[in-house]
Amino acid sequence: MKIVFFGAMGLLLSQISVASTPGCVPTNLITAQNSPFNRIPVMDQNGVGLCHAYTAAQLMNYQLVKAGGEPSVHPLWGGIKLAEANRTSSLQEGDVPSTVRHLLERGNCPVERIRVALERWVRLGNAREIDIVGIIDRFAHQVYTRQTQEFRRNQSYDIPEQEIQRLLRRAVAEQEEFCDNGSLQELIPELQNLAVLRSPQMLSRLLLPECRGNLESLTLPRFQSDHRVPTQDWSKKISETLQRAGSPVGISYCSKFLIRPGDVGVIDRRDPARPQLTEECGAHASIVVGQKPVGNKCQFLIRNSHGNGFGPETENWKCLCRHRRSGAVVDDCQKSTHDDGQYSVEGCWVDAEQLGRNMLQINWFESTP
Amino acid sequence: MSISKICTLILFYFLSRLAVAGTCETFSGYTVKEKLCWDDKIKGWLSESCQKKKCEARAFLEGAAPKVKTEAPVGGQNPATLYCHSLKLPVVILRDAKGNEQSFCSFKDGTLADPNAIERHIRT
Repeated sequence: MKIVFFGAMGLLLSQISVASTPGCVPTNLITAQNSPFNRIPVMDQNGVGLCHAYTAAQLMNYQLVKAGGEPSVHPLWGGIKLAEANRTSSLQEGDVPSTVRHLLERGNCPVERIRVALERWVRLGNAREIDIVGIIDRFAHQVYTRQTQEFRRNQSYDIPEQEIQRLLRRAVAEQEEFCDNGSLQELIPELQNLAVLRSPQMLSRLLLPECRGNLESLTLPRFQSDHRVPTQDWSKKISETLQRAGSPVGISYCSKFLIRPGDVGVIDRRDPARPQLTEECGAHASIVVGQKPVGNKCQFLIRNSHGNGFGPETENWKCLCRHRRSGAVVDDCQKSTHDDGQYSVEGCWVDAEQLGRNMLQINWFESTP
Repeated sequence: MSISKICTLILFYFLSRLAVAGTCETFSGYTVKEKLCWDDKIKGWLSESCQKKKCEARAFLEGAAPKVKTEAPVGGQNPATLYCHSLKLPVVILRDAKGNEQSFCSFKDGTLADPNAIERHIRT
């Protein structure tokens, strides 16, 4: 009798739990049958602030694979096209809708051609690829840091040519300490012209000559964007969009809450176009690829672009992991139990309401007609 | 000593070797391949060569953590890799067998280490 009673109570409580999270229909685009994510790896944007381009590339690649094509959008190309269009001095300024729009308008240079371009640099410098990536990374970071420092004082600041050369020589000298052989000095004229963050147009011309002309035209479903959502309605909006579109939802948000879940990054939304953010907000963009009710709350599955290990942003959350060898998926994996090299992190479950208090914008492609 | 005991000892030896070897995986760039192994002590990936001999990556992770101040991430920068920048270590991005990308900090002797382990070592 007791068993029947407790069974009935359990059933009743589970019904209440589901009813209290209306709209939070369990969805998981990573584990779905024939998921396009089987062909779209977890990305790592490193120390480059191109989250808008990484998010745009993932949203577009998902649609391309879903339609039977290849994931051919490279985030770097998205960043370059946006910076060219906006005539900004830095690649690291941008938003997801503009990146998607300019990629569609100006055409796409497929991933394979961008890889060929990088290999050309390896041959030119007679160096390992690691050194090429390292030197570009150093140079870009130094220019970016300098640009950011000066920009705080003077918003029309543009780094002088001499300063570019000084930073470049420094980056080459620093990188050479790590090189076994190779001739990185050979790269200086090209890098000087490149001036990564100062002139995206030059980057597109010099780093990626393989992409000149003959760009592919992408045909994708209608792209949508929304930022005019009251705080309390964000989780509902994301949930509805995820279900209706049946595709990932791009989110722009204050990422600090990933490390400190209680943080509220958006202070004032009275002007939705220019919400007031805390200094620590850390504006970022990622994609939501699933949802599920947990207790009386909804959780969203976020796929970030910070690699597939357990880092500082995944310590607070339960995640979705994949066994590296068998490919088996483990839900609710955690750093404390699964950070052993056997698993790669595919995404992490975050609290929908906490995310809502930090949301800035969502973007999505409507379902394929 | 009976044959069965000898067999058991040999089996035990090979199993213990396997346990020490842990998980190793080849990560690839556009033109390079680097074999890295998971290290349970530091809770992160290290170049395979660090298992056989001394290396700078392991020496850093097992030594006293330096005081490092990183800039706040901008534009969604990976917070762990910012520690590589602060330590003036180049960052390389390689792909695992499934094509997933992963950043590594590169030390002077060419050995690579997991930035998540570096970040944790410094923070904690």
